[in-house]
Amino acid sequence: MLTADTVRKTLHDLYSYEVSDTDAQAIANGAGPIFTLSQHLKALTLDDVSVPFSYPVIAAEAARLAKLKR
Amino acid sequence: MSYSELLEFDVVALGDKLRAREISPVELTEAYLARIAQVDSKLRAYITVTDDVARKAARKAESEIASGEWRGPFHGVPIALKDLLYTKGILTTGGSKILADFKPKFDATVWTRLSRAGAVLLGKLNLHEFAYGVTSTNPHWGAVRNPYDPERIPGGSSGGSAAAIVARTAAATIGSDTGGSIRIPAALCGCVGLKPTWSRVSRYGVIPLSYTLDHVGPITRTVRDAALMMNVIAGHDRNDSTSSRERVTDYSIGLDSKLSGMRMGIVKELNDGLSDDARKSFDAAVAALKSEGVAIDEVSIPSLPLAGIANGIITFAEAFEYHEEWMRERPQDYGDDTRRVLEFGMLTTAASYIRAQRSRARTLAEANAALGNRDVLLAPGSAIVAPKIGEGSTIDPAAKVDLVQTLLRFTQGFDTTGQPVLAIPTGLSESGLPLSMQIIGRLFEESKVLQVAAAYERLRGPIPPPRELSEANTQ
Repeated sequence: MLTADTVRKTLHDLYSYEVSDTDAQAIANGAGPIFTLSQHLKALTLDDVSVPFSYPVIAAEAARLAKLKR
Repeated sequence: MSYSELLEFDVVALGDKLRAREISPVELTEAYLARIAQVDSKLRAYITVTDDVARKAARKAESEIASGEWRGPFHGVPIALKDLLYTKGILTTGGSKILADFKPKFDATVWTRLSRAGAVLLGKLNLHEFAYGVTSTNPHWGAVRNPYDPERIPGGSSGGSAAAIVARTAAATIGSDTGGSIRIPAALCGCVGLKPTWSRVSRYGVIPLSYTLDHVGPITRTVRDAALMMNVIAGHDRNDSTSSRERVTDYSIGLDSKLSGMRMGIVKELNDGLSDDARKSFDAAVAALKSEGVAIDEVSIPSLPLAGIANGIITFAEAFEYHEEWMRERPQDYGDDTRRVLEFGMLTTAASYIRAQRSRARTLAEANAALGNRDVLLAPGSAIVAPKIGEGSTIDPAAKVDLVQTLLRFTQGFDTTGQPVLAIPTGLSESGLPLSMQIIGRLFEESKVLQVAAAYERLRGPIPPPRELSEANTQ
């Protein structure tokens, strides 16, 4: 479960981003249930699903960037 | 012809009349600019009105058409763009304070294509800040109002795009959809909104919300207008490496097709939790389709609710990646609700993001199986009519019903799968507010979705315009 303390500490340590106690609690209340529900995605049996990143897109983007530099 | 008569034509009719020189692009543009001046201070659909740009383009169109250089159905037609699309030298704010003075150095591909087709740019349309929300209650540029009841939201994030269509302040508009931002405002305002297949329309020059979920598409008065707009904006763009090379068809072909013999499936996971008004309207639409000889049964996409969660997780992560620098340096310049969801993105783990991405294939596989030998799937466009502005995130505190989730529930899953979906009005509630149905197709089968929508639109007949609009037109 996401707590206000975890929110405040994470935002401070990772991003030097400060939030009030009230905001930390509101963030925990808003994001916590969604992060908990996202754990249910594991139930979809994703073992046979490949990682959905496309090398052809990366290659096409590299070619586009090369053209822009000329 | 009076201004109010000019404003009643859809793009198809305008195209015919402009080509035949029965009406003039200059006169038409003046009619729209006058209408914007008449009603937009109340509706707040526009952030920027580009009067001079519009008049110059209209004069050029008039001259070209007179000399026989007709560029197609959008030549001389006044349109407007969600203020998320880059327009060279023209203010492009994303509905934000952060970009309040931003003037891009190039055009979004979608605008490049519409401009080449001769469209006249009336201006840039208001939206939920950075497209990250469903109300279009914008703290920096004013709350967009629903033309059917200015005390209510138009939906979002493309609220200005839908409000302008219904208020007759643009002949056609462009919106974007990451969790429902074309279809929700189309549903709540009573117009047509098409979210094409992901990658069908270029996102080059469109301020991103979520790179892997953003879709750009038309918001229009009629289905045939959406088809015409797709003919201009769809197709591969060498500036957008993610844009598809799949062949583009003529979307206006087959719009006169009959429904008889078609098979459709109602999505079980979205066929509950409707208000009485929404239930009656959706059931009536289904009954009308059945009466035309359509075989309709119920189908299941079991992981669709989780696809909504996946959509949220992916958007948290990708939106924060885009906004990180501004969130570190000027968080106070965001509206409260947009800043809050960006803060959620600070906490999203890489593992949950990748898992959400992987889950998309599973849900799409289920959706494809649900389509099976059916032509399209059907679902309500929204469970409720447009809520009042300022109702906050909760429409019923006692029941703990969250407004955002109530609206997103019906749309988010199909951004996750990337399928084409069209929202079409099904009528008005007893209180006179629009209700809507979604028509969901296979990847790259926008033509089929449009054919079904066009046939239903004929069956349904016209929707009464907003009362205030009728009164304004008679003045």
